[in-house]
Amino acid sequence: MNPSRKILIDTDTASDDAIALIMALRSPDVSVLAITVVAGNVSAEQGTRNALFTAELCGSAVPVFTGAASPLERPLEDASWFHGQDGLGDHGYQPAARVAEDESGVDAIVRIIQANPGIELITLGPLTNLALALRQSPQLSANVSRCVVMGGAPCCEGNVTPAAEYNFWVDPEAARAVLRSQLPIELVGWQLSRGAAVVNAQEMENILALGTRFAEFAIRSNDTAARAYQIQTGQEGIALPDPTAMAILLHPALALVASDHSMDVQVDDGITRGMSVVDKLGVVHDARNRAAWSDVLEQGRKHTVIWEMDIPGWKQSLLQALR
Amino acid sequence: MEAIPLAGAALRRQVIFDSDPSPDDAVAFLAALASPEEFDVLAITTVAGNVPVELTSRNARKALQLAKRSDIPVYAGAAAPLVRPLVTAEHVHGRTGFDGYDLPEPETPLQPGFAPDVIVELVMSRPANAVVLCCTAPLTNVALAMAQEPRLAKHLAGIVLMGGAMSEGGNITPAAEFNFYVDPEAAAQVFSSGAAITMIPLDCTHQALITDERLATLRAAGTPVGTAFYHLLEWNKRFDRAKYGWAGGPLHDPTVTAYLLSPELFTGRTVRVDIECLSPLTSGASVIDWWSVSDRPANALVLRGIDAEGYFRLIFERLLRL
Repeated sequence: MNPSRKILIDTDTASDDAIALIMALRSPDVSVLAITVVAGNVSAEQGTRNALFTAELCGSAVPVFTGAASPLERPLEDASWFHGQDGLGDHGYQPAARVAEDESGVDAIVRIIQANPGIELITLGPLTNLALALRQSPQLSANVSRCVVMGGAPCCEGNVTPAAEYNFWVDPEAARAVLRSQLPIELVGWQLSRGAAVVNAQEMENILALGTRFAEFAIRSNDTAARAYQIQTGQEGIALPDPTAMAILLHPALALVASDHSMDVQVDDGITRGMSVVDKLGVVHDARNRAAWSDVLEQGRKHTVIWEMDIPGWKQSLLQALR
Repeated sequence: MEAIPLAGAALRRQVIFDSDPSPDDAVAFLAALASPEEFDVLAITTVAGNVPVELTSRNARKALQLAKRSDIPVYAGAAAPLVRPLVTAEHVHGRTGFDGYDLPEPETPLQPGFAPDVIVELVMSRPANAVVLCCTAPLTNVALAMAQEPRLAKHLAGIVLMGGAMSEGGNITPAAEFNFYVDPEAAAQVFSSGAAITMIPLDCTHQALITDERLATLRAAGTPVGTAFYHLLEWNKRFDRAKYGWAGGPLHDPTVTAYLLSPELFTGRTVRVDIECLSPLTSGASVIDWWSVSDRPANALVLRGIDAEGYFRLIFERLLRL
């Protein structure tokens, strides 16, 4: 069996990324050509180990590449406070046999996209690798049929600061470069994984009751994140931003409400660093917005913001992947 | 942080409206004037915003004259934001800010005195917690008053203001609501002042649309005030209808009055609000820490929910008393 849909996953593999990887690697609908790892939640080395462990768990031979070790212009500020020191809740998960490829993650992105017109991309971490790949080869976008980006807090509160979501905040310059590219982006902000989309205590029980190694790993590796999320928001359960993005990549019909907008990322320091700014009401074409928006408008590409998701459908796709 | 102690049957609230009258500002203060059991309106202070201050000052007096309340003093304030050139909103409100219905020129002059000075005088000459500032404009006058009298913020019973945006995004730039965008430095000073602030952002007001059905109640009343505001608001809402395809424009500013009259129409949360002043892309954005991800202390009650039906019933019923 060789599914016709080819995908490349760029990830800063921590606990929720790992579930997203399982969803893709076990999906009969797609063929994962590569996993490229970027520094973010954890260091690029640790993220690579986590991706390799997850691939092994799935019995997958997918090549794993290590990419950028830090954001484009800033030092890395990781999210180990949320995901644990090793990103997987510090349970000692280690790959038994597999190692990363020698080629850099950025080079691998360029090569694989060039060789596979129509490929679908999904990014689960900071956009450093993809920004560097576009810098090497701006025409890459033409080969990409979809680019699902988990990142940003479109018209909503952030998770790392009141204004910004982590992936955009940690490398805002990279996020801006990618949003200003010609890639056909579908933005999955962190708010889609909130509220009713949170996997609650009963649903965690249901997952564990599947009795598979995937289910056990999914719940256990996310226990630190679940505690952090509870402290952060007062909500019980696990919020899974990366798996919601993966669900939308795998099953596009799960995106119920979406619309296209000009958007940009705030790269200056200060209280709105990393804020995803979406022109929801369509005001950027007037004179007072010209100075701040002319570059975005000249590049001329609107991106799709996904506002609402089929929540039962998302949970079904998660359960299916962990069976 | 406690919400502002609210007016009830036993408590008549002294208020100052700081305003840049387009029609919705005028509805805000006229509804208060129509509610003498709940409000004692001490003054209207005007500021540059929707249109220049000369026009907002004239519009305030036109509206008072229409309601036969020219006894209420109007004081003009700042002609420009603290540190930026003025940005106006003629694209929404017309050249005069009151396009759509010709009201007679006001016969009563402006009162002598600069609005920020007057705010200080009116508030500090009364006991603490006596006066609520109702702000429906850029916060320039309020910031100037606070700069002049550092005790002002704590002496006020509170500030209820229309401004900012959260999930709605901005209405003047993608990131910012008009009042905060025009004078972000003033907004930032007010939010760091320690005053008890209730903030009503676009999230709330964009749920309160002036539909044809709602507007028809003004026309049907057949009173001078009803007829004038029918036409003024009808003209006003064409912008939003044309631009956004909505059923009508939002009736922003009277939410301030409605909150003081009937807080149960609203839902909200006490949180930290900071105003972006530096980045050109996000200048004037209200950064609202809804989930307390920062360690900064709460400084405002932010209202996100409104019973729109109850709001229009309340405000139009009051307005039509005039």
